[in-house]
Amino acid sequence: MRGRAQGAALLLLAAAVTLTAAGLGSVDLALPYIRSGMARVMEARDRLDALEVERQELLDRRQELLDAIDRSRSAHSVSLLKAGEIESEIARTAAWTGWVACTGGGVRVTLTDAPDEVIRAAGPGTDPGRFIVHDRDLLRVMNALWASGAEAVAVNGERYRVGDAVLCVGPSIRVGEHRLAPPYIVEAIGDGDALAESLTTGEYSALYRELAVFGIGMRVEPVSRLVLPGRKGAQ
Amino acid sequence: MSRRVAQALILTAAGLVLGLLVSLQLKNVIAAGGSVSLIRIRELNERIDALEQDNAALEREIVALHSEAFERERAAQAASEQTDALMGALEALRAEAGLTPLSGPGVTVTIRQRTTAGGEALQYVSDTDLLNIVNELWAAGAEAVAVNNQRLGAASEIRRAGAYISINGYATAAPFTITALGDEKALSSALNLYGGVVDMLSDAYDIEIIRQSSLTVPALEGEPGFRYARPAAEPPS
Repeated sequence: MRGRAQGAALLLLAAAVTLTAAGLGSVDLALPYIRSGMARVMEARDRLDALEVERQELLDRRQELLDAIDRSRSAHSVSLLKAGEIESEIARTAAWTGWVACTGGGVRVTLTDAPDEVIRAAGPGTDPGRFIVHDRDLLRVMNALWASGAEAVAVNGERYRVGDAVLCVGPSIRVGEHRLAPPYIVEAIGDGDALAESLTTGEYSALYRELAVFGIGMRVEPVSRLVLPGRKGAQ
Repeated sequence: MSRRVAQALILTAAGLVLGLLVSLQLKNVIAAGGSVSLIRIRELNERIDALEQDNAALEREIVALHSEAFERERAAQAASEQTDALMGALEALRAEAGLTPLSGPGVTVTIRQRTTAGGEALQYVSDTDLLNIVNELWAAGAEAVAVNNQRLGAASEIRRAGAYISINGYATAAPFTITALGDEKALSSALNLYGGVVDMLSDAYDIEIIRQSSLTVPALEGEPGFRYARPAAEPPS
């Protein structure tokens, strides 16, 4: 009886120890798994962190590019705005320098050589050169027009520009690069009545009278609408 | 019951309790480190996937933005170059219109009136005299001319006003100094031509022509400004 009870107790003890050992063994067996689970979490966390960093970098890069695009866009529109302003200033300045055709009211002055009968009537002793329109006459007419407020001038359809010399070349007059033949038609944009008055009865009427002495014709007429061409050639 | 049996029973109970505790603990550990981390990993992986997709989308967007930025910069650059070119053209036009001062070689022509013993001018220099000399200078290739520091522009007048000459509306009097920029040799020889303008005027005035290696002509003081003339379409020729 005593031996059997003792045997049963020992058996139970062994079972308990075995169970414990088995439990411990399981823990031991599960440990790598647990560790690898933790490692995977850590790994995933690291990956996530790396992706977050990458995302931030990408967002920064995107912002940089958006800023660069904005800068280029505003630089572009500033350039276009400036170009527009410059273009309109070019248009204005080119009008003054005669590169652009201009229209407006004004005056037309026609200078004609003396008719043959006037030259014949003067007799053989008179210098025939006095009966034709000279460079100086044309120059004085143009100067008179500017002094009287003319803004743009053309002679025989050729726009005058500052720097054009007016020179007699044989029977014709060269204005700048253009060789012109009589009659000389000077068209000037400005206050037509004031210009006409200045040349016929006003400040510059002496010119009119001087030319008339030699039969040189000077017809002055206000014109309500003139179109002066722009200068030809490369700007 | 004997003492020994009771002892054995206590031991058995202790062993069972110990075994149970250990296995419970083990279960807990596995639950914590195993199934909980599995959920966690799944969740993390989902976030990783989402982020990877986000980042990939961002990368694609950046590639597109990159080429847009490049194009925009090129367009801005081209516009800026065009603006610079226009500015250059405007500067050239302004110089031509007399709106900027210019420097260079050239000649100065000084015209002095002769006077009586009492200091009275024998003959006043006329607008026509000045016009003719200036015309001669243009003919000889002058690029810019000023008379007594008044730049001659497209519509500048030389106007007689009593004893004065008015240029660009400014009254000025003798002596007159005409400053002309250009080839100083060509300019001075054209003026010195026998029978030329200066030769003829020298009967009445003292005229001095000096070649200069460096001269400056001022700009016109105001812009010409059109009140009557407007730009127009080119008339048919």
